[in-house]
Amino acid sequence: MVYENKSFFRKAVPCENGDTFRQCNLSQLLPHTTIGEGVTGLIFINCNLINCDVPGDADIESCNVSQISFCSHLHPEWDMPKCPVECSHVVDTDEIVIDGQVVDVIRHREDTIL
Amino acid sequence: MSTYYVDPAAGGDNNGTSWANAWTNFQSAADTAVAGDIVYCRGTQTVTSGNEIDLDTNAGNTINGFISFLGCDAGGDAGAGQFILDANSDGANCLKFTSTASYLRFENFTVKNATGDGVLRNGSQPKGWLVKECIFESCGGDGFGDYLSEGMFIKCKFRNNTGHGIGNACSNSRFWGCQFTGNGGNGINNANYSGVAAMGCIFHDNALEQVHMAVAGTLINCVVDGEDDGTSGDGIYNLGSTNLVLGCRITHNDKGGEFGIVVSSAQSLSYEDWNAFYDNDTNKDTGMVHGGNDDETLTDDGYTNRGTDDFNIASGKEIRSEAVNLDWDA
Repeated sequence: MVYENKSFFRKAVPCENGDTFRQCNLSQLLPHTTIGEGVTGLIFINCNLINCDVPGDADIESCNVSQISFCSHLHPEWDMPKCPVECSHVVDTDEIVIDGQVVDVIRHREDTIL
Repeated sequence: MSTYYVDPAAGGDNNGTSWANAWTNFQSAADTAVAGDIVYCRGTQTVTSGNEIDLDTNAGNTINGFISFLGCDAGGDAGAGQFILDANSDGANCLKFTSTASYLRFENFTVKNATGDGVLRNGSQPKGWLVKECIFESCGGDGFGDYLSEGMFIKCKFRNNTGHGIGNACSNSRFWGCQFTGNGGNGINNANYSGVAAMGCIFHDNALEQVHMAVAGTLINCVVDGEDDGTSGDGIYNLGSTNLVLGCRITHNDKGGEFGIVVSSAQSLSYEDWNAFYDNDTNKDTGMVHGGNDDETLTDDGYTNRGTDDFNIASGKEIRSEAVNLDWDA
């Protein structure tokens, strides 16, 4: 089957042997999400494969294959596991000090490219 | 007015004066071209981490005109092919622009595969871009990040990005005949800036809202269509008393509890009288317009073939709005 211009963002991807995905969004919220386990002959052309682990024999052409650790604090709109306050995505902090007392801490976060 | 050439595969003098001696790096064009100049670009440039292209030097102006960057096919014909900036899963962005970069014109460019936003604003807003028949796709952030003011996007595609199709579309920007499809965020995310207008656009299969509006936003003759499996959010979100939605088809925003249109303040305009609704919310009695009349206005969505993304109105179907025939493809 050929899937074209379809989005499987944060969803299970239906895969059968020999399927082709063209200009699809298969990106997932968690790094190294397995796509098409046990399926052979998959073809991905011009797709968003962020955080996907596809079968080793898959043919990949001009796709985004990045692995990204997304921070839930930066993406509250996504239904994903919540990061702790002091998550690994914190890159810098600013303390708000009044009368010598730290009254608040501003944490600067970034998604992490793995 | 000068003319320059960019071709990453060129093997000449790398001075931009001809195709044979074209610059092999688009950065050279970005740093050299001034108002009124034209830069023809062909082929594919890989944008690596740390070598993202900065648009921070020159600008067009209202006297001498745009700085024009025009994508060409392999034969050098402008408009017959795309110039591709491919971050290849490595570069954080393909293009970064600063407040300097006003009055730029891009035609037939493809920006893709960045780990972050395909195009990133780095500083205050410039203004006055003209972006035509460009594609922003498969990026880890937004296809086009925070925008700039007073710009125009014509027949562009924002697709399959993990973030929004376009981030905060800044004040008074215009979209005509554009497609926002398959993005992990909103098709247009415009929570903060006024005066955004979209005409004849298609919003389809974006995982959150198809359109997130701010004050004084306008949608005319658009298709606002939810995800195929009914998991997306609202069709049009955050309409206020200064927004205008006319002649749109608002369909299949049917996750359950989601609406075709969500309004944030009392409306004097009855959206049901001026737009077409079908299959928004699984409970068809309560899902059309939050706070408004709840009846569907169509017996089916009327599209020629939604499965193949053909949103033109099929022959003989009831027409309460017209979808735009987007016959352009890269």
